Amino acid sequence: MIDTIYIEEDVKDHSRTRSILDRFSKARHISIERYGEVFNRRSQNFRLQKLKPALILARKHAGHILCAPEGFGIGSRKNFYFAHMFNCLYDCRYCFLQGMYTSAYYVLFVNFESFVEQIYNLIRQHPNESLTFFSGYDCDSLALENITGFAEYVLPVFKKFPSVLIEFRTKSIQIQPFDEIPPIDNCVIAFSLMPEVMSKALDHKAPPIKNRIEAMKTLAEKGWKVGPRFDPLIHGKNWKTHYQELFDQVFTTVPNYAIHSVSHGPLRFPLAMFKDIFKLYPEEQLFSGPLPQRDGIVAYKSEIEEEMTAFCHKNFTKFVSDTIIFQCTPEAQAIGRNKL
Amino acid sequence: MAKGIAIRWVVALEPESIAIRKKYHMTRVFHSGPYPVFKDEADCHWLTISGVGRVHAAAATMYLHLVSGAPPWAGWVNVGIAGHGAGTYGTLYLVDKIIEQSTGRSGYPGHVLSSTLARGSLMTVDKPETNYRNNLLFDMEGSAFFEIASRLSCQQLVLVLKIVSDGPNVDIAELTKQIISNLVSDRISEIFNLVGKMEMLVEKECDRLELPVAYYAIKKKWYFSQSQEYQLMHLVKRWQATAQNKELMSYVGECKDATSVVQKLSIKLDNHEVDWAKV
Repeated sequence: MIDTIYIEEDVKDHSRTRSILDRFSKARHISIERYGEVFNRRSQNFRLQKLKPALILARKHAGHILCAPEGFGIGSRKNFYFAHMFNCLYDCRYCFLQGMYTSAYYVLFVNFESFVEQIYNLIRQHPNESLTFFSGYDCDSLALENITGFAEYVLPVFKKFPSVLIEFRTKSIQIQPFDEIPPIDNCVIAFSLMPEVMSKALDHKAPPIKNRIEAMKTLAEKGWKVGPRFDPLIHGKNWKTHYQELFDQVFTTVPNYAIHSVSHGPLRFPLAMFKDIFKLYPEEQLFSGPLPQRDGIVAYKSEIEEEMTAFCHKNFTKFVSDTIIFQCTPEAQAIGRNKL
Repeated sequence: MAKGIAIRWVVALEPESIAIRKKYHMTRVFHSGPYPVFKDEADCHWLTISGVGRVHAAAATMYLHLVSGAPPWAGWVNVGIAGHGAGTYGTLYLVDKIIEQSTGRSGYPGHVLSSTLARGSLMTVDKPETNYRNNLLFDMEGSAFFEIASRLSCQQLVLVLKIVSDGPNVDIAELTKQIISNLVSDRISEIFNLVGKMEMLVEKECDRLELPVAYYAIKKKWYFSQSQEYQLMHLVKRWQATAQNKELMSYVGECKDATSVVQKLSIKLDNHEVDWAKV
């Protein structure tokens, strides 16, 4: 429950700010100049803030749309990502956000119109190229949709450009905006998945895997394209059995015709980020196993990564065409850093 | 000491300290320093009286940190009286925004404790303020205390609590020691409840930050270079996370030197597979 909302002076009269504040009329409203006064300051404790995150309403002034890191994509020539929010409702232990920011507060940029303007600009600049926009890189795309209404706002934009793909990456099972409008072919609702036993230990506050799979099925049956995302792949005892069960569950539940793409990616952290995350959660089992460092990246040993990748690929091809399977291995250092 | 609990109190005036010292059964620590210091029997709660103003508040906070050996997970609490233009006399406020009048800078104590206390913004001024305006609390120490205390610990473990003592209808000049003491005393159970919740967070932070006993035992037995010490620290934490069914010291007991300790632990942990079904 959000009980504190920080509001940039600049957006205090924005219609979206007003409607959000109306929804949280009992919350304490605190006026600020810029979100950087409160967010990501020194001496903040991400782990403690996560116990009771505040909401910050702010204006995004620049960098609305960023280039996706090399190696990240689902088939388009050019890939972009954007984040209308920083931080996430969930508390997944492998998430890079906990190492990227010192603050767990949610920052919501209320000037959605600026994002849309930039999207239009980029589409105009690349008239004959296949483009994909990814939403949900620095946040979960849909987890706070009932408050933000972001997906509902941008979907009509993409409807106008059938050749441009938009992916909403989520763990949320709240699918209202997609429930209420006719499906758009160039929209993919991508669900992050991992075996239930791992998710129970790592995906804190996130919906159970079976519910996510059910949500995918519901969306698929309504005519939306969905994308199972097995990213990051988590190693451990009996991992093959766990993943095999998950793949069977996903691909026998979700209608094949609705699957736009399947992707998988390894667990990787830039070294500095890993150190910060380890400091925050030293008791976490995920970090106790074999995660050596190579070239500034902390990851499972190459043999493990390769074995997991091969296993996934082999199993996916039992259910879907090879052409819609993608391995996402962005350079971990590039996460959140690629400017246009 | 109750494991991990470390609370450090800073008040400006002696009468503000009376109810707190009584509640925690604190006695004076004898020393010849610039600020009086008190502590409870278990060494969990320490208190200092800074005197009025930002400079004293900052200095006394740092002084208490040093004298009490405050760990990085310590919770810091500032309790004091404040003026308010609209607040009811005697109301206890949990401060969530502090504006320093002289610099114009703002700080935001971002507490994570559940509380039904009234919340307010505080302006820290350098001279007593009687122009009560903008629905603000006024004090003379808050900003300096917050700035220093949040560097010594973290913002989420710093509380600034203010009790309305004066305003348009209550003259600041009429405040006496007894009135100030009573103001705090009347609110001590609410303060106690809130600080009790903070103690739980402090304990959790202690668990996170404190190095295990085994780490010190190993370091005592073998000589570790600085980089080996760092490796050891990381390995010991990993060992703890894996909840190994063995006692660490006995596992490495036969090693001949620090290198072999690090090696033995690394091999063991690098071959550890998490059993997610049992986590």
